[in-house]
Amino acid sequence: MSGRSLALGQYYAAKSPLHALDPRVKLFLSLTIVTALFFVDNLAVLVGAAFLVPVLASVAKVPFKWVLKGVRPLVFILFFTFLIHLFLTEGATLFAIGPLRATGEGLLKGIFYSTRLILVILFSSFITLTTSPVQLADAIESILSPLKVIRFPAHEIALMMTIALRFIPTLLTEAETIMKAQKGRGANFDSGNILKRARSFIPLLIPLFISAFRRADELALAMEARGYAGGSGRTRLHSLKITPRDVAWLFLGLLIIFSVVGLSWRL
Amino acid sequence: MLIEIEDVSYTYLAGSQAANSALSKASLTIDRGEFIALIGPTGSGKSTLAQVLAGLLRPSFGRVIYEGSDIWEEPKLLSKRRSLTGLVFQEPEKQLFEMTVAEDIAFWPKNLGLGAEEITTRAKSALSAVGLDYELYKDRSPFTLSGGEMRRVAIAGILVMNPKVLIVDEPTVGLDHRGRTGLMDKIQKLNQAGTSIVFVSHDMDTVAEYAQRVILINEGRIIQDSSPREVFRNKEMLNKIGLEVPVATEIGARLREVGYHIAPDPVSVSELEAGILASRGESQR
Ligand SMILES: Nc1ncnc2c1ncn2[C@@H]1O[C@H](COP(=O)(O)OP(=O)(O)OP(=O)(O)O)[C@@H](O)[C@H]1O
Ligand SMILES: [Mg+2]
Repeated sequence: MSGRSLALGQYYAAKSPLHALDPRVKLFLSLTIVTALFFVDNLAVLVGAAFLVPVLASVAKVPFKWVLKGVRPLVFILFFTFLIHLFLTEGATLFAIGPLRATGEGLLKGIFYSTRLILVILFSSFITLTTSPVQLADAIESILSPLKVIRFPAHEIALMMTIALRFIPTLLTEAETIMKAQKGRGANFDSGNILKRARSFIPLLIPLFISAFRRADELALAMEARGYAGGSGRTRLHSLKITPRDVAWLFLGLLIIFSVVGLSWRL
Repeated sequence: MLIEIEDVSYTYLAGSQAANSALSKASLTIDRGEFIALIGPTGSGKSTLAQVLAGLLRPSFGRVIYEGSDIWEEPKLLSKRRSLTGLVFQEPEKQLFEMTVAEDIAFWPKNLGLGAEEITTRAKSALSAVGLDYELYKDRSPFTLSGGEMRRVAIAGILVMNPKVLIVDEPTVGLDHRGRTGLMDKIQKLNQAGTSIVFVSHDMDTVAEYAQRVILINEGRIIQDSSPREVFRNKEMLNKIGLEVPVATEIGARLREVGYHIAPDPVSVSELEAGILASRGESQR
């Protein structure tokens, strides 16, 4: 791909213990963390757990700012969650806007639930931050593979994901080029009424589809020519293996999670 | 002066982790009737510069001036101003989309709201400029044409604009010898009729054969802008950045080494031929 790859998702390429960790372990740990967060019912512990985020970021060698980017698209939902709790909780009135009464209890609850939501987002974002999409697809295939006995197409699904991920940047680049080319021929993609605007995408979509179909055709041929014959009996170059290091990290992770949850129940 | 660019820089994916500065501080001018070749190794920024020249890529810094006015100053006038230049992208046949050749070529004039008669006249002359007969091709689907024909139709879709500056990005890649010389001769005819040409290429022999001026770009910087002879004189530097000199220049230098009196630095085959004949005449006298 001529060295040009789009920043897809939020994966941040770096060499860190978290990047090296088996993606299945990462998936398992973050599922556990998210579940655990729902068992913590103490704001102080939640805030304490928040300090683990910059620690994790520095272990993963991902700039903290990059990690926080993951929250940005959800700011609206966070704000909304906060407001709902602030105004809809029974308690002593803090202030009122028209018929809406903000309460002290609501304020605390609002802060608690939005903090929890932020933490869920931040902790689970470490998976996509430190695992390349292709590795993730591999992990999903491996996790789903027991279902192969009931004829669940785990390999095919993972392969489809991998191919789709591989071609998204290619298609985007191509769409960009075609769009520029048609603009050069006087196409106008961003004015006029809805119908006109929809029509204006025809010169972009037709060439894009034609090239996508041609590419799919070529890829299928190339895969067949190189001996691809479906998932059964296929071995892989980079097979996922749990190493002692993965096990160590797994236990360390679980230990931290359970102590945090335990602490919150003690308090 | 038709086009002038001043200190133009362009960065892809600016501000992200993958930010990539593809053009830095490029300045040049294009006059009426010039035939300019834009050369440089892979990834040096040729296509980026071509798109900036065509007004399709807004530079991160610097100005793009068409006939005296800055094109990015008033976005409303942009699409009108753009028709001063026509850019034929790399593999332009990928942009065909209409049901028939005639309709595809009519895309630009329709966007500009020209009348049916005017459109037909323009389409006819655009197709004949690339050597295809309007009556024979107008009702065919572009997708049933051969690769070379598709490319010609795509180029006709640009020529229909009558651009004063025609920018072509590697137009001959993937064509056979006949297709290549055929297309280049058509481009040269347009040039002789007054159109300025900017011709992006990897093929130094073609560059030497047709261009009057060569702009050499490496790692996003214009490092030379002069006559073909002067650019190709610097074989060492060209080789260092991964480019070759034309075969004629290479052979001329070898012949001089073994004692022929070849006039200095032939760049095209015809010049080399003249040089060899002159040198033979000398030795027979
Ligand atoms: N759409 C894009 N997104 C990100 N980077 C890009 C994009 N297009 C080009 N680049 C990068 O910008 C630089 C210049 O690219 P450009 O296409 O202008 O080179 P070129 O001289 O035309 O190369 P070639 O001879 O291979 O066509 C390269 O490093 C390229 O990877
Ligand atoms: Mg290019």
